[in-house]
Amino acid sequence: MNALLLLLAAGVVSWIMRVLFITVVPADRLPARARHILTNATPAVLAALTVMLVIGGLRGAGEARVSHVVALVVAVVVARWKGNVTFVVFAAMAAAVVVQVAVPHL
Amino acid sequence: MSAISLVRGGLAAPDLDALHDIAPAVVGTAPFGVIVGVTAAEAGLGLGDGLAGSFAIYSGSAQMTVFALLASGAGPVAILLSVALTSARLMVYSAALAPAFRRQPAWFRWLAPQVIIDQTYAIVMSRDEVVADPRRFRRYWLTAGAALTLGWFGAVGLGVVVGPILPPGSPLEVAMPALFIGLTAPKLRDRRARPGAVVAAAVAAACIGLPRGSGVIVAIIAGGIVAAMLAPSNAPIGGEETA
Repeated sequence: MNALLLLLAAGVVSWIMRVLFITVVPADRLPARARHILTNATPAVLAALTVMLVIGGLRGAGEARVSHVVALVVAVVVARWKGNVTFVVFAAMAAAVVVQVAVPHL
Repeated sequence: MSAISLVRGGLAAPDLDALHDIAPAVVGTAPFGVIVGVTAAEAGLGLGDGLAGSFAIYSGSAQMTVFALLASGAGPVAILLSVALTSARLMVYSAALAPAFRRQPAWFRWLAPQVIIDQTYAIVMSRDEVVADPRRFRRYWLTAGAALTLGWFGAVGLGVVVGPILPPGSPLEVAMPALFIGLTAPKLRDRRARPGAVVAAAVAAACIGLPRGSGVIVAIIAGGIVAAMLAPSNAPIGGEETA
C-alpha cells in the first residue's frame, strides 16, 4: 500500500476513535472495564514497539552499537527521572555524540 | 495602535484564554514535532506526505508508530492495528469530552474532535466555565486547535526538510527508540498499566523474527488480553480515573 494512503487510512482510524463517543455512539456511561482496557492498551502497544525498535536498532547499528547502547541506557535513566519526552530524546542523542567523539573506534 | 492591541482587538476572551492555555503545549511539542518530521523523512516520506500524515493522524505517538513500522517493513494490517491501539486512549478522552460537544452544531461534532489529543483534553478539562458555555467552548476549542496545528505543522515540516540532509550514522538514529522509551516510561508509573506492557514487551522480543511486523500484533494482543483480565468491575466514566 502507498505510504500516503496508509497514513490517510491511519488518520481515518484515529478520527473514528475521536468521534466515536461524541457523534456516533453517545456513550455517557462507559463501563470501567472498557475504560481500563482502552487506557492500558496504549502502554502495551508502546512497550511492544519500544522493544522492536531497540532490538532492531541494535541489530542495524553496526559499528555504532556501543554508542547506541549507551544512548538507550541514558534514555531509560532520563525517562525514569524526567517525564519529558523531548528531554529524553535529546539526552540520548547527546550521549551518542559524546561516546562517538570520546571513543571514535567503537 | 500597536500590533499587539490590533491582534487583541480581533480576539474575543475565549481566544485569548485558549492561546494562553495552549501556548506551553505548542512550545513543548515543537521539538517532538521536529523529531517526528525527521523520522518521517527517514521513512522515505516527503514534505507533502509528512504534513498530510500529520494532519490526518494528529497524534505524535501514532505518527511515530506508523513511521517505525513503515521503516521495519510491516504490513498495512499491523500498522493500522497498532495505530488503533496506540490511539485507544482518544476514545476515553472523547467519552469524557462528549458533554461539551453535545450542544454543538453537527459540523463541529464531526470535525472538531480531530484535534483531541492529550494536551487539548487536559486544558479544556481544567476550564469548567468554558465547557459550560457552548459558544465559548466552540471558540476556545477552535482557537486552541488552530494554534496547536500551526505549531505542529511548522515543527514537523522543519524536521522533514532537515532530515534528508543529516549525515548517515548521525545520533538521530537513536532518536526513535529513545522517543518510544520516553513515551512508554511515564505510562508505566501507573502500576495497573505495567502487566500488559511487560507481557507485550516480552512477547515482542520473543516474536521479533516473525514476518511483516506480525510479531508486534501478537505482542499487542497478548498485552491487551492481560490488561483486559486485570480490568476492574463496572463504574461510570468521568470519575477520578478519567485522566
